[in-house]
Amino acid sequence: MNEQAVHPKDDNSMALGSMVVGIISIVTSCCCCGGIIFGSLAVVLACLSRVETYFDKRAKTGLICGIIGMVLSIAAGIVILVYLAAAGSSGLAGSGFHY
Amino acid sequence: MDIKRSDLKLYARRALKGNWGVVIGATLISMGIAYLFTVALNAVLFAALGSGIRALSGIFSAAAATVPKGNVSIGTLIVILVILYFVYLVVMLLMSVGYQRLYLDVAAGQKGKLTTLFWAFTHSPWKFILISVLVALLEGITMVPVYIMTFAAALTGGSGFAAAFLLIYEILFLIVYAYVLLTFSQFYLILVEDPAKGIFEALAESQRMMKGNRGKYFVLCLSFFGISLLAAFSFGLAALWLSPYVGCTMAMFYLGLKGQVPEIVKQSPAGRAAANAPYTGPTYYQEQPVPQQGTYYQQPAQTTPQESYYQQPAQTTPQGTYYQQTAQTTPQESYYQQPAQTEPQESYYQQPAQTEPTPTAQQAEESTVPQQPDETPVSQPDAPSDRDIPSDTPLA
Repeated sequence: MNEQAVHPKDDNSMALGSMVVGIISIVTSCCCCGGIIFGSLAVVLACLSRVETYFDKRAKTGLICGIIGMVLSIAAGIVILVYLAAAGSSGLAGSGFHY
Repeated sequence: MDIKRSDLKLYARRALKGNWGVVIGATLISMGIAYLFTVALNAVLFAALGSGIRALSGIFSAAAATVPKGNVSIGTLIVILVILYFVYLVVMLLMSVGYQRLYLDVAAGQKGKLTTLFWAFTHSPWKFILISVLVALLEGITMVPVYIMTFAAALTGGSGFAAAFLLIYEILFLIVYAYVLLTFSQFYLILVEDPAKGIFEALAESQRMMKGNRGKYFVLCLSFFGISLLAAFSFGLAALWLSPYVGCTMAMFYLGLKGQVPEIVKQSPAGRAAANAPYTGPTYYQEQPVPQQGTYYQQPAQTTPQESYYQQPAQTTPQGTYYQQTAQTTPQESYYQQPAQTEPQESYYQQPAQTEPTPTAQQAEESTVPQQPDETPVSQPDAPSDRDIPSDTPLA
């Protein structure tokens, strides 16, 4: 017998919050630290939402989205730093370029 | 204690489910009160310093406007500052005890209340204040050698002996301090659970409880390092959830040491909900408690129709009607099973030889007359003529 068919759907609002914050972290990963802030929050909420021996599907989604958001945010930060360094070395900083 | 660390955390999360609003609300209230005290302390401090507090903008200047000024001396402001600081410490201390009580309630499977945050204000507050003062004094005394050696090293211009002494002392101090902290880690929770207990009684009980469990508690504390690092990345936002989680896990560890982990957190919420909810399984099992079952057990003789019920479970209601109607058809069944009741007519047609009398001369003469087929008793059984019916044949 299918276990999911017998058990009623669990009301896990924290898993839902994790998924929402994880998606926000991906959206804001191109911003300054949005991906890291919301991504870490999504991961924490996903971990705290596990009240069964398995992860809720929404919590799993939030966990993955949060990690992706954090990675994208770090990558975006590295790209910005590299770009600034390249701009500084090529003389753009002295020609009116300001970040 | 034979409960695994991961299980303790799982139990804590289950206990917090449904109580997150209360514990986070308690945290926000505590933060709000601490912020108000900080504002007031800063205002008095700035006023006491006599600096250009009016030049400050924002909430600090607004709070400072409430502080007496003008002819208030600097000494009075310092006294106000000290008193306010001690009130702040006492309030924060008692609220932290209220936190412990709240976490203990939640871990015990009870519904948390915001008022529990102020529980220590009405339950032996002086005992908790005294304990905190004694602990602070003890920590201060243990640091006296460090102060002396630092002062001596500063006077003599520094030496290798002083540096080595400080290093060794700090390492030893950390080891002893950690051992003492682990040994008496349950001290506060024991007193929070039962404020009537004495201080030394609670210390002895904590020592007894932690015997053989110091390592587990130490690893449990270390296991929160990773998630605390993540919470730090969120600029403290995740601490709103993490702090109650850690506190509730510690309370669950205490309950585990006492063997009082509630059964409600040991059960899976989904399994518990499924056990309490109406049955939502397949139709076949759902329809078992239909009232026809009672009929089944009350009338066990009707076994054959009920076997067909299990072969066709979807048609339960019509079959139930069928069973009710079978009782009405019982007379017809008895009709076929008891053909003797129709004996008059059947015996008349099936046994004509037995009812045929010895023909008389007149009857023999009449028997020579050909009979029309439609006058035979078989074709008209309902209206037999007197001629065809023997006189001595009894009518039913």
